[in-house]
Amino acid sequence: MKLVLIEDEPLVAQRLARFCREILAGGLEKLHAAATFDEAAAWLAENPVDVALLDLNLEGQDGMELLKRSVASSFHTIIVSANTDRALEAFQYGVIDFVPKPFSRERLAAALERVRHPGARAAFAARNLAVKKAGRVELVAMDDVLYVQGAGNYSELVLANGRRELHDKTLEKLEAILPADFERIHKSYLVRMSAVKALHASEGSHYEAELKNGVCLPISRARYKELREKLQ
Amino acid sequence: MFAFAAVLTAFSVIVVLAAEPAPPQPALRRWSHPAEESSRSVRRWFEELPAALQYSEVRFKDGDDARWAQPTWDDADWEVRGFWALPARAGVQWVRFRVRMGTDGRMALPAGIMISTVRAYELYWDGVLLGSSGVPGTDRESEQVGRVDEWYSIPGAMRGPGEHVVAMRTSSYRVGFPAATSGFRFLLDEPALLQGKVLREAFVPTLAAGALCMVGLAGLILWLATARRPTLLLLGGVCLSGAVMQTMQAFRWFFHYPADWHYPVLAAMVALVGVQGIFMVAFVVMHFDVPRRRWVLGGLVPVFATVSWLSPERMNLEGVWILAVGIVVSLGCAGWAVWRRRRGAWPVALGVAASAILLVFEAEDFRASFFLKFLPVLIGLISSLALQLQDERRRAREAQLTAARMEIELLKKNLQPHFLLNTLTAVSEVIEQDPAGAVKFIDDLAGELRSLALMSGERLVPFKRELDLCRAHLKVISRRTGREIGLAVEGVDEEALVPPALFLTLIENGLVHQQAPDRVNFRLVAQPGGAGMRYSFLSPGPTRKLAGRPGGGTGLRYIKARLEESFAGRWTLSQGAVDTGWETVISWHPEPATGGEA
Repeated sequence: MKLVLIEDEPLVAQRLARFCREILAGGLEKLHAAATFDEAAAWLAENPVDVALLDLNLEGQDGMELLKRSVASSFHTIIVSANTDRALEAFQYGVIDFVPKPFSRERLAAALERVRHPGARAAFAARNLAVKKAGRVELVAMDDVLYVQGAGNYSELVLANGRRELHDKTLEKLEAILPADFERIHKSYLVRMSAVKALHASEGSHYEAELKNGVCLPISRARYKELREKLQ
Repeated sequence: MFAFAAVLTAFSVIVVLAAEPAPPQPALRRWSHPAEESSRSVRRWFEELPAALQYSEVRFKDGDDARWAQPTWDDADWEVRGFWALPARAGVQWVRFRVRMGTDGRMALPAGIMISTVRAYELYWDGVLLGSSGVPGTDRESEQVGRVDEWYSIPGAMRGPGEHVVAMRTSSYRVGFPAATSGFRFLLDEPALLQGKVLREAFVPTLAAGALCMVGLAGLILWLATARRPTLLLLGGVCLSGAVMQTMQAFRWFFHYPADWHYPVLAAMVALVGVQGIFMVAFVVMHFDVPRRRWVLGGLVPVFATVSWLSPERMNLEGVWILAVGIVVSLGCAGWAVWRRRRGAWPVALGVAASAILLVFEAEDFRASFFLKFLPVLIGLISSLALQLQDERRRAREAQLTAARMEIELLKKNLQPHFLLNTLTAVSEVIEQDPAGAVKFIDDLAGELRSLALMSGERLVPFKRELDLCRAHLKVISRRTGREIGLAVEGVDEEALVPPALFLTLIENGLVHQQAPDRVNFRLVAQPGGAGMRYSFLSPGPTRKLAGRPGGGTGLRYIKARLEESFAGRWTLSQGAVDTGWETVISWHPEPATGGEA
């Protein structure tokens, strides 16, 4: 696992780094510590990571802006902050976990476990997805998303109005922060089950989900039976 | 001889007959209802007399002759004069007039007479002495005063149908009034009705005296019990002088005082109106803080005196004009207060204006209805005072709330969860890695919290304590961040007083907004400036791009609120970027320069 930690207090950074090394042991491929988000951003441009441990003062406007920039990135964001009163809000933007300060090794391990474990989901699902657009970060309301199509290292959000938005996260990472209503129906598709009208099985073991707006999406054979039961 | 005697006698008879004046023609009587002849100020007394009652013209003669009382005496050559045009201090005089009921005089007359005058007199009805008030005389020594109001009853047999002659023998050496003439108010009605009139006359002044006395006493008690607010005292003065004046007005009707009291009583009442006018104007001037108050108040006394002197004839009107002057000046001051948007100016302006209008419409009937005319002013003054008191209570409550909020803000500054949790996170790392260092760290944190606890509830603290708090905070921050941040101080008097956590807040702002190097000092420089001290505070390092420096974050609001709390209106704050960082300049002067309440 590749990690970046962004923390301006050296004692706390030291503590975070120490715990990460102890928890991940051999699983830790790379750990980079930065004092500010800007400092980390330069490094991240060259060095992709799986997760950022981000210390934020969420009280001000600036903290929320940094949060949006972080969650719009390809990596997962774990917030490490004393502003526990803003935790729910942070989750709504799509962080995978919120570790309140002061923190124990066990609490940090639980957060890292969410990132490491495939299929694990955030305690609270995102209600908005931050997407980068022309150098800015914009928010897309989760309720507007019909389905998500994987496209290699990034994903495409398909909205109810037909618009498409690119997101830097992979389909796997998005799955971890999306509401439980979203199901992985195919290796390339995450669909909001409430938007599904019917499932069709055609000849040659070809399965499809027909959405309420008429769009048909492929279903992997392994998921068809389970999905049909869920839909019923 | 006989013939001579007869001729002489005849001649004598002729001469005598020739010398005997021709019998006078019966005088032409002018009959009218007494209300028609009376002046406005006393007309209310006559309007209710029987509609059929008629008085003839009043005839007057200097000199003294007992026969002049007789109804048959021919007074055709007597001078016609009004009741109020009798020369004062001019020997014994006689007045004659006739009364009847109906133009044909066929009705019987009412049984009661009420006479109000300061003159001494004897009253004859158809030649019979009905009574007297004092004894008329030819000089001050021989005259004896009677009572200002007297009542007589006419025996039934003497008031049958027809004309009746009223004759009065009178003198006026003790009237007291400086005017050259004086007179009578002569009322003829049923005795019970005349009594009713008197009761009615006494009613309003009695009521007014009680009411004004209560309000005046309430004003005085409030003045004594509260913070000796001068306007309460003045309100008390306005009401109590009014109460005394109205008591004197009522006094006449309950205790029928001697006629020579009347002038001093009226003079005292006029003086009381003057006092009341001065109190009223003083109230308005003080209440609204009108400029040049000494000139306004000092000018009133000569103006009142001039007004009194210019109208020596009519006691009644002196009071009216004095009150009118007082009302005009008050109205001017209240108008000024309305223009300057003073709190409570409108009620006073409206009340004074209402009183002015009432006064203009019924100027002459002034003393009797004084209270009703003065009531709007009184209501205006009291309402305005109430509004001001209400304002003060609100301000005091707000100040209390602000003080409480400031205290909470102060505690929040360093007890805020964010600061403590971040510090505890750092502490927990030090505990695991360097237990001895952790103890020192906790000591530093405790030091800051102790400094802060010492300040809670204080509005001002010595600079020494403020600087201790700042340094304790920087110690904790330095430990947490691994930087060496200090505070350099120049020219600060450590005993001078400063709102708590003022500079601590500037340090916190500096830490958030300025990107300072790892080893750095905040700088606080104090210099005398203006009437007080000028403190310039430098947060070193360039301003962070992301954060900026908003015009009024919570920190800055705290600073401004604290400055206003302790140095209301006597402080300034300015800030801006300088080459070496961000400079905040605060100045204040601790004592009000002019002694005015801030």
